[in-house]
Amino acid sequence: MDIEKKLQILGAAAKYDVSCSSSGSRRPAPKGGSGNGVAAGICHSWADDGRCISLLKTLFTNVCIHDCAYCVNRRSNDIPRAAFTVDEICELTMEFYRRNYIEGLFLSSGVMRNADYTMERLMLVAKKLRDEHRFGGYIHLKAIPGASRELIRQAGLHADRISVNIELPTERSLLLLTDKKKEDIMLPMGEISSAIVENRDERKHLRSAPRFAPAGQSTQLIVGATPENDHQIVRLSEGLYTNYGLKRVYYSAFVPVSNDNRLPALATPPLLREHRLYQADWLMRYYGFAAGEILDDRSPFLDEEMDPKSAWALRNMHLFPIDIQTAPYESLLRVPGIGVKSAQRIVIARRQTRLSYDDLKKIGVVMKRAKHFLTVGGRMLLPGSGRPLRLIRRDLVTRAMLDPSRQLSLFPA
Amino acid sequence: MSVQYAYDGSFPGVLCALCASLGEKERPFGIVSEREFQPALLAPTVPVTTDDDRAGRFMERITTVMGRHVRRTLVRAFLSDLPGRELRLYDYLAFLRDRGPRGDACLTHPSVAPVRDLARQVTVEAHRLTGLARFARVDEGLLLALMEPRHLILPLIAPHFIRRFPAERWAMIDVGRGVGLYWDTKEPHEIESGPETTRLLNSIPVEEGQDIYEKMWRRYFKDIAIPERRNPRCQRRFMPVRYWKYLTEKR
Ligand code: SF4
Repeated sequence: MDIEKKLQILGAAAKYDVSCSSSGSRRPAPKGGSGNGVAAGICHSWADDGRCISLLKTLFTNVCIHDCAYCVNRRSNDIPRAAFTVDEICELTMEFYRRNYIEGLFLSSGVMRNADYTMERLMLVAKKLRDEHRFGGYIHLKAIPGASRELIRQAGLHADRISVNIELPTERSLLLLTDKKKEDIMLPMGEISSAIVENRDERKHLRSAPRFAPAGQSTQLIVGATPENDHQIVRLSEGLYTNYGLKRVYYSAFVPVSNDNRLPALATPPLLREHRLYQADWLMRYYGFAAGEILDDRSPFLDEEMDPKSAWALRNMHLFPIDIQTAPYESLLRVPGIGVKSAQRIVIARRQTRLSYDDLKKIGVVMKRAKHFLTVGGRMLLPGSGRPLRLIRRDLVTRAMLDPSRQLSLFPA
Repeated sequence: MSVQYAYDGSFPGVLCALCASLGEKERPFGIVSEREFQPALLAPTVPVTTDDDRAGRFMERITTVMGRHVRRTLVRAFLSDLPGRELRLYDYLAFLRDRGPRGDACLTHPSVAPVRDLARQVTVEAHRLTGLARFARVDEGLLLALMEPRHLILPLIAPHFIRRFPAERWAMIDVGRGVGLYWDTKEPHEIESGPETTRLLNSIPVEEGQDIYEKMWRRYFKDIAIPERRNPRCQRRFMPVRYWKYLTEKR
């Protein structure tokens, strides 16, 4: 089979992996080589589904000895199979990279023969790119559950990021839909996370020590294939960020790929739910929210009609209004309609002048929402505060409700 | 009576014009490059001679007195290459002169906001094109990228590509402005419109599908989208149609 045909099969098979980030790693181009890491990451294109393309995302092979119900590559699925050679992937990566199509490679794989055999192929691709092609761009490798510690360690020395996909949020679902156990996933995750911490320590003492996965670890959860609620998912993510030091958790709305009766029959992927989970995730990573503030056992699902910050604010009206001139940065961040950018700009600009309603608009605050929560110059923006929640709610509802298929910008403040 | 300054269109040129006009009491009627110059009925024209040393000293002074951030804003706003930006730069600097370096933090002031906004637009487009620039292999292994950016972002993105492809021979051409840059693996050379640019432009493989990697990339681009999630609006918001002309996967 030629390389063109292989890419058709294996590129398309990788599309359900959502991670595409190329951020978090800064490295100069090696002598005589090509490619560098840019800390902020760079997007190179946007596919027809609106998702960013930053890396050549492909499988090494779609052959798999496992039979996970939600996965196109499952053993029992009757589809054409292919496998790259190590050299083919290296060549594709280099040639795409030179034409500036990509920031680097994201290599995942089905499990061919056994976990170690597969992991070794992935590791060899990364090693060859670095050593022979003198490639300095971004490499993200999937760690194959069950692969040996040693191989994962070696992979991390060449890759910028390593990830293990959790996919299903609870062990019950894992057992129901796969032949994997929780340990198969959590053990390598723990391994990687301690290797990253040790490496950071080591490099404090010895600058020349090789770096281990400098862009950290990420994972992916499938949303809507199994009965877990949002509260369980958000709490799981919080645990992954704090206990395993993950850089990112990705959420992937379940796209039905089989008629297996253990899986729900969905007309469309639950995109709005996925979108709300990303917003909740941002609140935890950038806005200082704890999972327990976003959801609790009494209301375990995110509000579909409004973003989680607005929903939180509405439940906590007793904390508002706050004053635009004096409120601390952390409180500004919690106002619906104020994002990280505008909160920063408010803090800069208010040192120079008393901010007015128009100033806030110019700074980029969405006044339709924010006006219910702020005082400007000591006065409520709306005459007659203490408006009925029903009216406030109306201003906070996002248009996503009208047309669930449309994607909002990732985080409307 | 307020006057109109005419300068040669270069960055040192505009610095000299700004330096001269800021020394006067009155706000100038206009600061225009010779390219855009039209005699004004009511304002006498003062031609500005470009003096690199004087421009350098002026920039130095701005940096020490106002800070590196102001310098960066100034450079980027100028590179927006939009008509009328010179007078906005004048207003910005005049405001900072009166208000002190802190004035730059008056984000919503009418003398500050437009200039910062220009600078931001330029930064956004430059960042975008570090991703959207596409190289094609032309004669003798040269990698060539063509683009038609709204702003003059070539000087901003060139260092990025020099860091990225130090060992390759490559060139980038801003087709609309007829300027470009050639990297010979050791140092950058400016290319101006002329026979060399024309030759490069003509060396692009015209026939589609000659390069197997281009072909594979186009196919890959189609395959990677999840059909159930089709979202052309979102795609266009991040990747405006005006860039498609030079995008291998969208051409
Ligand atoms: S192990 Fe991975 S590739 Fe194989 S069936 Fe399960 S999810 Fe799919």
